[in-house]
Amino acid sequence: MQKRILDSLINGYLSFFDILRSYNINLAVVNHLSSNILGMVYKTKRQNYVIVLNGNINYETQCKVFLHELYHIENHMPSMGYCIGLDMQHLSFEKNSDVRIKA
Amino acid sequence: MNDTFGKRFKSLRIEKGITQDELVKQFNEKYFYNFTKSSISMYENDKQVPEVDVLKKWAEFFQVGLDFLLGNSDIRNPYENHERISESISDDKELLEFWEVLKEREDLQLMFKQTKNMSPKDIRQIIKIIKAIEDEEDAQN
Repeated sequence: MQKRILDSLINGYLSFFDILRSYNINLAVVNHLSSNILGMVYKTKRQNYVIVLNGNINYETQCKVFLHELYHIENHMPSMGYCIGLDMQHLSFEKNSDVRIKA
Repeated sequence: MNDTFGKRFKSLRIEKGITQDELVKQFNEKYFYNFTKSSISMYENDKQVPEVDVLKKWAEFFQVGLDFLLGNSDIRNPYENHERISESISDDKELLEFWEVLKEREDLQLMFKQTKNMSPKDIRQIIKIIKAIEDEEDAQN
């Protein structure tokens, strides 16, 4: 499923906003973000999720990062407590979110 | 997605390099309990989970967060980044004040997709973005 959505995003059949319309999620594309940070997801004090994408990375990577963050929102964040995930790139659930998108 | 409580508990004990006997002895001495080796065995085999007050002591003993100990999160200690963030924005009073309030939110959730460990400059940028998101949401409501 994730792979089909990814292909549709890359091929332009779907936009980020088509997907976000189904959820209560906002999207921000930030152009001056450090190249070390591909994206992030944050839950605001009003309980809205915001996905932030690095505007300087290529569109295909943006699509992958977008689905990666969406996967966190759907599968990890509802059951997680307090979380500030700096330097999470080596954690298994980060890798797991990538694997799901590739599958 | 994560380990069970028993698996986490066992791996934390092994990380300390001690036997079940040594673990229960250290824990009982520190917190004045009378647990036995069989309790540890029950925990490690997922046959029993301690009561909440005891669970909190185990988290303190292993110096990990409760969610990590229970296998609900891969983040070992969600509070360990506080100081690092504060240091990264220490020369910006407004940002620091924002962060001091933000970090106290019990439902704070913030996760990144990154390629390298974050520098202080990266951290500052992130806190600025979060502040902008919150400011915009405040303005809309």
